[in-house]
Amino acid sequence: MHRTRLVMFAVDADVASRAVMSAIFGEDFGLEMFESAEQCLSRMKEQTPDVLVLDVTLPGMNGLDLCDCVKRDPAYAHIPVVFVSSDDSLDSRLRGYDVGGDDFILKPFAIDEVRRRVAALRGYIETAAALRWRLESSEHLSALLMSNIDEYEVLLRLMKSLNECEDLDSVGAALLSTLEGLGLDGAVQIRERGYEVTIGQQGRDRPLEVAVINQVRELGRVFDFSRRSVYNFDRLTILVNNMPIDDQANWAYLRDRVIIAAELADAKLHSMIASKSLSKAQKGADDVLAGIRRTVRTLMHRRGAARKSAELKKRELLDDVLVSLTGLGLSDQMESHLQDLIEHHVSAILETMDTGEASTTMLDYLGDRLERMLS
Amino acid sequence: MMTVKQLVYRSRPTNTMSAGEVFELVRRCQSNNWRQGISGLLIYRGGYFLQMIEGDPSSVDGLYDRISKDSRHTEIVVLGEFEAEAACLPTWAMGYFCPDRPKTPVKGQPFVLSLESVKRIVGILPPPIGQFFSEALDHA
Repeated sequence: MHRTRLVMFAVDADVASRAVMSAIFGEDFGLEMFESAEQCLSRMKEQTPDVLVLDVTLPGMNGLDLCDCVKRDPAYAHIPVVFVSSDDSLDSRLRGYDVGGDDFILKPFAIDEVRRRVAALRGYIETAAALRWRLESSEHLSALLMSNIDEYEVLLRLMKSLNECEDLDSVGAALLSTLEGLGLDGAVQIRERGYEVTIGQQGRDRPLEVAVINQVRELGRVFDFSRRSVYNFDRLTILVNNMPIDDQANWAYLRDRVIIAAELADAKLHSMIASKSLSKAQKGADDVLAGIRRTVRTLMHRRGAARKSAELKKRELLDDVLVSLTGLGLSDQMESHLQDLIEHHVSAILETMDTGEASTTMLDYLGDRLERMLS
Repeated sequence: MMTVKQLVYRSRPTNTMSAGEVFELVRRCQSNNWRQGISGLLIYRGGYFLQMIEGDPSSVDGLYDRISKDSRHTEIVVLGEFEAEAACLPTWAMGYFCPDRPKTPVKGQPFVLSLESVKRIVGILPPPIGQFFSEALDHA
């Protein structure tokens, strides 16, 4: 399937860096390069790019301010922005995150990795739109936005939503809606063994948002820094970006509500995971029992077949012996005696191989019990 | 202002390397460079590797020390060592060029620059370094 070539605007003041970007992306994108943020903005009046790649350090307006400018404009806010920077600090990533950046790539980067991450932005463009639609059209969010609602009702609505949640993603979405209901901006990360999802208002699994949460989730149960708060539980992390630090009473009030919301969601996740484990264990037990039933049936069948075969062999042996004895010139009495002797000993051998009636009864009983358990 | 060391060396593979082995070597170079914050450029042409590595001096020295002891290389010659205020190719860990460039990128293989791209980049490199690469690109 032919995919439309996306238009990429890349901004970097360094000529060598522009040559590098052109070398990496020039064949796969409709690439335009700019030396400054101002040049890029000017061109955006004529052509809207599909993705922006910005060096953070630029003459004049820097890459962060350019991103902020773009994200504040409804006409351009949907455009994913990738920052390229040599500053690997959390502070640097947070600044990029604050202005709405979608990914943050450290220089010097691995070419294949950066190509992969930029290619993945196609998916983010689509899922961000879908998630926004889902949040906006959800009854919960609409109700909260239209009414002047008490924070307790927000939590009660969360409990109702959680009760209806059937998967991990919906728990994350319910929590996110709750944050919005409390007037808070942030993101939620849900984790289970082998699965992780980060949901924010701008989309799902935005790389920069994931990177920020991954760095703060080890900072303790509740961690506050500037106007952000982080709430870390075993299976989830909530990052709030706009706590009202100028209003201590409200700050404390909202903090408590977010903690309660997080605990409710964590409990729901715990029960979902436990229920899934129980179903898995039950399924495992059913599989084992079915396997045992099959084995018992096979044993009974083989036992029956072995018995019949042994009897046949005994008959053949006796017939062969009789034919052989005829040629030896023995008397009828001696022939009969030898025949009885052989038959007696062969039967005795067969009986030692045979586990007897008790085994047959035991197998029948076991098979019958398994049938009843599995029916 | 941090000083950046730039080192250019040339070598031959010890044995004839298949395309897959070259790609594996390139992938390791890129990975090593990336881990240590080193940038550079590598071309494989006419049976020779020509590589420029640049970055923190101790990192560059350490990396070159490992390269020089790598048995897959032979006839290793340092063509030049330079100091600069900044790296000339700070954006990527390592760009790679070879004449056997696939028409489209192949999954699992490192990205290969086009001849046009690598010439453009080489044209921007400072004179002594750029000259080494220009000569290598001009000779088969």
